[in-house]
Amino acid sequence: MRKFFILVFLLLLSCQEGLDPTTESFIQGKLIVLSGRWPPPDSALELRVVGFREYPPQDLLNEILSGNAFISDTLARFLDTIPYILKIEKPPAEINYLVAALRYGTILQWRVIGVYSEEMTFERKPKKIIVPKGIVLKDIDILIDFNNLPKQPFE
Amino acid sequence: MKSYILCFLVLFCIGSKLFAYELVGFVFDSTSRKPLVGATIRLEGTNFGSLTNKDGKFVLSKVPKGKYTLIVSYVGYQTSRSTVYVPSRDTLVFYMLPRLIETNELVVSASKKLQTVQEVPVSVAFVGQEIFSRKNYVRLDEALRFVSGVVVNKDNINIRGSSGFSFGVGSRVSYLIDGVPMLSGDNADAKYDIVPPEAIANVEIVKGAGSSLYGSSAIGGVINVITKEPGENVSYSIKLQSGIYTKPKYKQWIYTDKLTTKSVIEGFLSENFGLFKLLLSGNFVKDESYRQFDKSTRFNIFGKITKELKNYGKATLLVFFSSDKRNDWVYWNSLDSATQPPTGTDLSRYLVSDKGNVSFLHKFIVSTQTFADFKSSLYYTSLDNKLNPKNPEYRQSKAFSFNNELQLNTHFGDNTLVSYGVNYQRNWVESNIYGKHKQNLFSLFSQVEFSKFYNSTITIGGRFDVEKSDSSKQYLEFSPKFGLNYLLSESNSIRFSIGRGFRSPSLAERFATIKYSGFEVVPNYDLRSEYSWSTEFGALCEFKRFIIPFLVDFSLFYSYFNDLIEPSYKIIQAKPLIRFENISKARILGFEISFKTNLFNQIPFFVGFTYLDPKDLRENKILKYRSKYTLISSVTLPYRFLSFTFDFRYISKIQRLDDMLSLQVKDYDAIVPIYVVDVNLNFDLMHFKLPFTVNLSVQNLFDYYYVEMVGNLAPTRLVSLRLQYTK
Repeated sequence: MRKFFILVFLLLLSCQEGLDPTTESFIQGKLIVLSGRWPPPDSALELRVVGFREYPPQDLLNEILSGNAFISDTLARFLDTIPYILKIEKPPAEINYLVAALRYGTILQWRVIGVYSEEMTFERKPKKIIVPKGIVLKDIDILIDFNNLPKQPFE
Repeated sequence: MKSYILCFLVLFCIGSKLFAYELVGFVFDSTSRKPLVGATIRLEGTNFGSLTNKDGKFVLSKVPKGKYTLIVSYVGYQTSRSTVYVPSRDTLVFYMLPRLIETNELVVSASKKLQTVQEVPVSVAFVGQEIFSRKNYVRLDEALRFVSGVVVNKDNINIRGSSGFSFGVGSRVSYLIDGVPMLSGDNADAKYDIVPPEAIANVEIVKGAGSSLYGSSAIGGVINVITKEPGENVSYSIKLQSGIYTKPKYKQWIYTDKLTTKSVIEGFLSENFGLFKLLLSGNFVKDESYRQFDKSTRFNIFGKITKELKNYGKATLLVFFSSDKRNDWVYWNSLDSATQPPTGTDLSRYLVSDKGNVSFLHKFIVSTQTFADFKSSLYYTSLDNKLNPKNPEYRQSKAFSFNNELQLNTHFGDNTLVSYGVNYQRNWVESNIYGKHKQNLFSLFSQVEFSKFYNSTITIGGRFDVEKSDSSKQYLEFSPKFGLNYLLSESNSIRFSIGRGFRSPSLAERFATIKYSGFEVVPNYDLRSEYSWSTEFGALCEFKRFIIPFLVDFSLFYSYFNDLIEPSYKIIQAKPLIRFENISKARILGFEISFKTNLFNQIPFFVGFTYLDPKDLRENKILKYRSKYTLISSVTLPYRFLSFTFDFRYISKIQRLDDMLSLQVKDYDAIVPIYVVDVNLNFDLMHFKLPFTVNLSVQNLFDYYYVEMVGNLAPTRLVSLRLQYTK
């Protein structure tokens, strides 16, 4: 009988868990346009920040499907400064390649317009970000130069 | 068609010329001597049956001369069997002995005839009216969540792992109301809100393939809703219910400062007008929901008219109409904002869905050996999201399902019953997303049952179905079955069954062309039927230990599925497209054990456990969207005019999802095991001679957060109070 009540007690304890939105971490910052102009609206359909665990990433679809990429909500476009927040699921995580990506065509046609990096060369050597659990990492700004776009990862 | 009508008329004329008699009797409680209302009377081996009225009286009409075994059964009492001779001048009187545990439930869906649960060769579960009267459920699927081996995935019912996630189309469970099929003509999906709970007498859930009797869709099982019969005297009830969703514990999920509510008004009337008897029930539900932009209003009205025809048996007319209007979105924004629709959702958008049905049922005697059961129904469903027709996300569909069945049951001697019949179903749809299409299904079925054969009942049967929809080939299906039931004693039996099930693709799966919430679905004209083979070995045993009675039901089952129709994701010209295809081959091995007792003769306790090993044979991985373990438990503690009910359900975490969903659904993999507790406190004021019952219910007591369908937070804690007046 005691075993039965212990079992019931354990089951009732389980009833208080479940989905929890607080177990994530966030990367927060701004996209800052340094120079150049936004492409026309029909070539700038959607803007998101994407964080990849691996650098260089494999093809976009596989990285997303295998849980190796984190994608922000759609962001405002055509502004000089755009705040963003990127949710990192199941932290801690190591983000080796954080980019601003602009969709110019179908759902699979994206162009990297900014990389979180030390310098603004064509290569834009990415800066690594360690994301601990339950943390909001602030001021992770990505610089964008439309006159000098970075190297594209999937070309 | 002409010959069919001619045949029908001939059978009618033969029936009118019979010599037949009446059997009249009363049923009482042996201790209190009070009449038992609603006791079931049947003549074994025949289709004659009746229920007692409020005086405990029953009448069996048009019974041919002969010797019969009369069976009287009632929930909570020992079943009585006695020999009667017809004609009989005597009025029969039965005094029923209470039993400590219910073991002789009656079932009609397993073999399309009335049997005790000990006599059937397959697993059957029940949801009785007391479940609806004791709990504040307003939809049938809310009650089905507490049936062993049944998992509800939003509007999709999954019996023993037969279904996964199918965008709400193509039910793998045959859904019937009083034996009449109720799957929509376009999506072939089941609507679980069309019968008000007050009109439901009992729900039978047959587990395993049942296409040999029920044709397409009975690939995983059958759900048959048996509605109440209109009574001899006037009775009515009105129910008012109101509840609040408590605030979620995470601030990210709080989207309003106000408490949101769910309110229900439900009425029931049963009246005997002499010429006919009428049952009328309806409800209105207004649900503000626990999620933003997820409000709904729904009403339904359900009518049943029965008429005993002097020489032509009993005719029943079923009519219902249901309409609901709800906000229209599919997946959450993200786990972080799980109570909100995706960013950019048009908040003015809503969906209107209507369902209507007219069914005519007629049971009549053809000859001294043959009884007939005729059913004809027209079921209408529509949906409209009220957008401008030029909008690419505009969705509108009107569909009809016209179903006709004639079943004859012929007795050869005392021990052999042959059931055979013909069924014709026509589905058609007019829609901007499915096009204009029709589908015809024609079937012949037959089943032979040998009973009292060394204490066993052997059932052999089969059904031919021909399916043809325009723009597709014609498909022929043959679904055989074999069943064996061996009675060890009145309450103990072992059973074995094997049968085939199939499901023809719905018009939606074959012809859908939809752009909706980021998904684009394209048609597949070559889609063919999916099929299954199910086998089961089971035992039902009643025994006593320390004076406490126990009832244990065990089944070991194996199902093989082939050509399973599932949504398949393809990237074509850089666009993710969905097409329904025959892609999966799977097997499910499992067992189920349920245990029922009545502690101290007054505390009913039930626990049921199901284990599944579902395997995708093509990919050699676990089948998607299936859980391995489910556990259901219920206990009721009565004290004078109070009763406290505690229900618990556990469903293990779904092990495998379709990863392509991540393209459209954020946090699609936010899946956890399900642990949900519901509690109900029922005050029966009849104890004080007041015609009221009050019910306080808390659904999801611990406010456990989970999903049943990916990207959809399941209902959070709802506290509701119900007041019911019954006359």
